[in-house]
Amino acid sequence: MTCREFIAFIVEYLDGALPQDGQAHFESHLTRCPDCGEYLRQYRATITLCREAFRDAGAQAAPEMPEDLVRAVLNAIKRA
Amino acid sequence: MTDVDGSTAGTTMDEGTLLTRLRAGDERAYEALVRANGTRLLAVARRILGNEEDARDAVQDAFTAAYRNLDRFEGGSRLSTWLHRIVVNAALMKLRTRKRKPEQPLDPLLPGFADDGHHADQFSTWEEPIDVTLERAETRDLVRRQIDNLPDKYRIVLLLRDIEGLSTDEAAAALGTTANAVKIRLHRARQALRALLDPHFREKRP
Repeated sequence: MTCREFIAFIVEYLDGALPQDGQAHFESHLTRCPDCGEYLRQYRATITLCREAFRDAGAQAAPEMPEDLVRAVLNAIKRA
Repeated sequence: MTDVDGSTAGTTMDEGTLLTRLRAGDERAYEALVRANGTRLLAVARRILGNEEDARDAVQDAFTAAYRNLDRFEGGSRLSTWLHRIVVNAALMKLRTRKRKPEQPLDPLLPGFADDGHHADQFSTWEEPIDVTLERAETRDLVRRQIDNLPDKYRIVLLLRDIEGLSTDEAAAALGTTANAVKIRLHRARQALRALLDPHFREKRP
C-alpha cells in the first residue's frame, strides 16, 4: 500500500468499514510509515477539535432563545 | 439531546403526553415545545448559516414545518431529534437561496504525493495533547474560524457529519446527493481543516 492509498482509505478505516484484508494492509502500512502515522493522528485530532469546538459557542452567544423569536414562531404557527 | 420539557404548568410532561396535546392543537404545549428546543435549534441554524437573521428565519420555518407535519411524526425517534432534522433542512434550504461567496480552491490544502505514491512532504508533530489544546477557549474559537474558511460545499458536510451527528445516509438525503459523495467531501473537508490548523498546532522547532 502506498501513502496515497493509505490516505484514501482513512474514512473507511475509521468507520470500521474496511474488509479484513484491507484493514490488515492499512495497519501494516501504519506500522512502517511514520508520516502516515502522524497524518492519521492529526486527522483524528481534527475530528475531535471539530466536535468540541462548538461545545460552548451557542451558550456564549445567546443563553436563551430570544423572546421576540418565540413570539414570532408562535404567531407564524397561528397563521399556518 | 435536550428533553422536551413542557414546563408551562411548572411540571415536566412526558413526550407522549406532549405529543397528544400538540396534535390536539394545544397552543400552550406548542409554546413549551418551542421554548424547550428553540435555543438548541437556533444554535444549529447559526452554525450552518453564520448569520443571525437567516438563522432566526430558518428556526421559524422549521417550527412552522414541524407544526404542519406533526401527523407525520411517527415516534420512531425523539421529538427533539425530529426537530433537529427539520431545522437542518430549513437551514440548508435557506443556504441554497443565498448568493454564494467566492471560494478558495481546496486542492492546495490536500496532501501531495510523489510519483511513487508516497508523501511528498514530512509532517511535523502537533505540539500538545489535543485534550489540553481544547481546554483553551481561543483554540475552540480558532477551530470555528477555520471551519468557516472552508468552501460551503465542504463546510456543510463537516458540520452535518462531525458536529450535528447525522449519519452518512442522513447527510446525503439532506443534501440531495449520494452517500459516496458525502464520504468523499467529508474526507476532503477534514484534510483541508487539518492543513488549516497545522501551522497553529505544529511543534515549534528551535
